[in-house]
Amino acid sequence: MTTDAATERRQQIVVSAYHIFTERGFRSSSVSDIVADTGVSHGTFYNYFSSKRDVADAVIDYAVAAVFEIFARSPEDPIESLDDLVTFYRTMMDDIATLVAREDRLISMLVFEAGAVDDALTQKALGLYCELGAAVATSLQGGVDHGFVNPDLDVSVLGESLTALALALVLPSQSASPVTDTGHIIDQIADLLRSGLAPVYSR
Amino acid sequence: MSDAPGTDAVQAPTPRRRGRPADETLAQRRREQIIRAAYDVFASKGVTTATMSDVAKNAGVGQGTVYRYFPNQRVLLDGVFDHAVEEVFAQVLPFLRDAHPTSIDEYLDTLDTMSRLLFQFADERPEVLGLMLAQVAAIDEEFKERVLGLEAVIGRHVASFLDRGIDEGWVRDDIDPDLVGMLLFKLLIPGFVQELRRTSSAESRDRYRQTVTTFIRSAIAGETQ
Repeated sequence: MTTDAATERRQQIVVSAYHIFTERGFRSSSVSDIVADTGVSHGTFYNYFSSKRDVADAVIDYAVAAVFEIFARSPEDPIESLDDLVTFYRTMMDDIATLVAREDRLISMLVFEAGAVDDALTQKALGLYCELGAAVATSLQGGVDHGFVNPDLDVSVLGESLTALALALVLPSQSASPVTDTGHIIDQIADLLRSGLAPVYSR
Repeated sequence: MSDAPGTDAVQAPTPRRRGRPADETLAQRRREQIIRAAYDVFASKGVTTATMSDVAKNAGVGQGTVYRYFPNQRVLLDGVFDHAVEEVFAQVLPFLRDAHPTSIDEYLDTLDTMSRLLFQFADERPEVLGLMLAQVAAIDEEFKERVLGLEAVIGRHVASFLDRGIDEGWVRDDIDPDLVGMLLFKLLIPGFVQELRRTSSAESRDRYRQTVTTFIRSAIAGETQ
């Protein structure tokens, strides 16, 4: 088999495992479920992965890559004002909302299933969250350097906090919360950012 | 909670007497003893690997006793989780009920005290937070909803203060209080993640609270200060 075909086969198994884990939960899923979904034999599965735990690792990597692709993107246009920065974050939030609408279980995998597997995977999911926070912090620092973000804010703290804000877009919305319109959520977050990040003297 | 006379009397502890305790009190104490033991065992071994016999051993009771109170591990987990939620609520809700911020500064103080109470709780009982956020949350849908429900209750309190602020002019009137209440509470999440990862210190907590406070003030302040 060519390397490309092997890579593709591996990817198919990962995608199946991702669906099975998020549907049934990691603990109630078996390698049999995964191979049945992929349409490959047990033997093929074990060519690529040593265990259910091993494929879980790859599934988390897959989810991490999908989210990271959005957050780590560089802006298309240079960010020269607070409005540019907020627009940049808006695009990110729109993309996250689209990703979540398309793959609604992705976040559930990252936030909830990872914890069910073991501590190493929990740390991996948490590590992603820290990296996202760091990516946001970098763009905030750019704003501080250019003088359009309040320098009294600690960008690394705020990077993580703003990442947590974006969770509002991705976590299954609380039954108690009436808010389900992601457009409205993004509008309100963008609005908070515009006034919350502005240097105090410019308001 | 009501202060009406009589309400408290029901829950008031019965005066301590010598001899064999009343059955109900004993049952209640046993239950709590087992739940405490289960906390420790779940936290140290993980929910998946811990067994009922580990819990019995840790509680210093027979396995039969554990099963009498909790017919299976799932029921025990429910008990542990409810207990944890009660503890968190007991830490924060009385304060939130009594809080009546009348300015942006008082509002920020309220949030600050709330997060300090939660941090303090996280500090004293790290295993509770760990159980709630990582392991217990992973068990099933119902648990996820309970975790998110807890967040929603606190978020609603934060929102009700915003309502008042908008009425009184110290919060700008173009925000959606329910949504922003929930968002502001989300800003506090990283602090708890740091607790979980044991990467926090007194200094990092202060920096964290200061930045979040500065951000929120600018983000929501109304015309009247």
